[in-house]
Amino acid sequence: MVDAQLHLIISSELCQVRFLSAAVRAVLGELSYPSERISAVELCLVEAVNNVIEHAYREEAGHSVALRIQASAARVEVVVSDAGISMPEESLAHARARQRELAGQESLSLAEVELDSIAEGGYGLGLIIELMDQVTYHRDNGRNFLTMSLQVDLDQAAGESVGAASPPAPEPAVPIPPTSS
Amino acid sequence: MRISTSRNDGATTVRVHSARLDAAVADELRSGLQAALGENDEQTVIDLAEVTFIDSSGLGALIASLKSAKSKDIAISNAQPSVRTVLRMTRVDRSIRVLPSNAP
Repeated sequence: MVDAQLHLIISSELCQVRFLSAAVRAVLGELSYPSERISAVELCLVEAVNNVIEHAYREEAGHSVALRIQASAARVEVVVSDAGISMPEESLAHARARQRELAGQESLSLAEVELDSIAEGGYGLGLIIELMDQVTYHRDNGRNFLTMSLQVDLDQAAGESVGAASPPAPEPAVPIPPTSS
Repeated sequence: MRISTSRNDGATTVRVHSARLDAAVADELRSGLQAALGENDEQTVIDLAEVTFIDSSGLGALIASLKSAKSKDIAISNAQPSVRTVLRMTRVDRSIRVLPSNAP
């Protein structure tokens, strides 16, 4: 399979993000990615680009947000870059800590977490961290780069689904005869 | 964005007629839902059958409108897999009831 290598640029307006979304969905669909992987990548890139527009460019139109995507049967890497204000250094670490805290609520049943106590925002980076295998952020030459990658292993997944032989059933345990007393 | 409301036997269903609940429409979603949920304090279901994509801004608008709603008995119905994933990953499904997808 030929790898996909694309560079896309949009203007820094929230109403443009859906077109980036549509393009990436089409590319990953062309590579026969499973729909849940396509949705994960789409959500992460939307969150990353929204962050750039809202925070790096403070919702000022006319700047450019660049996306580079490299997708193969094994993995997909998405790099979102901008020339705006950098994300604070501790943002990724804070988002990781928050995800760990949220993971602690996994065992709580419904209504144990009051609706009034939950945040209305700040979930974006956490979703990216949760859905992607690797997330890094750096600034280079006046530009910010958020790099996200996800292992896909399409070939392996296909092999599994056509039914690799299931492991042999374990030998039945030999019953131990009752000891006569 | 069109948001419709129907009432049946003391229960209200609020339907969001949009495939995409993202940052571009978050303000519109918040005000539309707040208007729909501010009408009564009955048992209410927000039907998201038409929604195929939600991001954290759309989710924030949803949370904000539920917080300000009159009714304290509100559930989400017909959430598609991508929407369920977001509700689960953010653990918002610990605070908002999400009905199984085959529920009426």
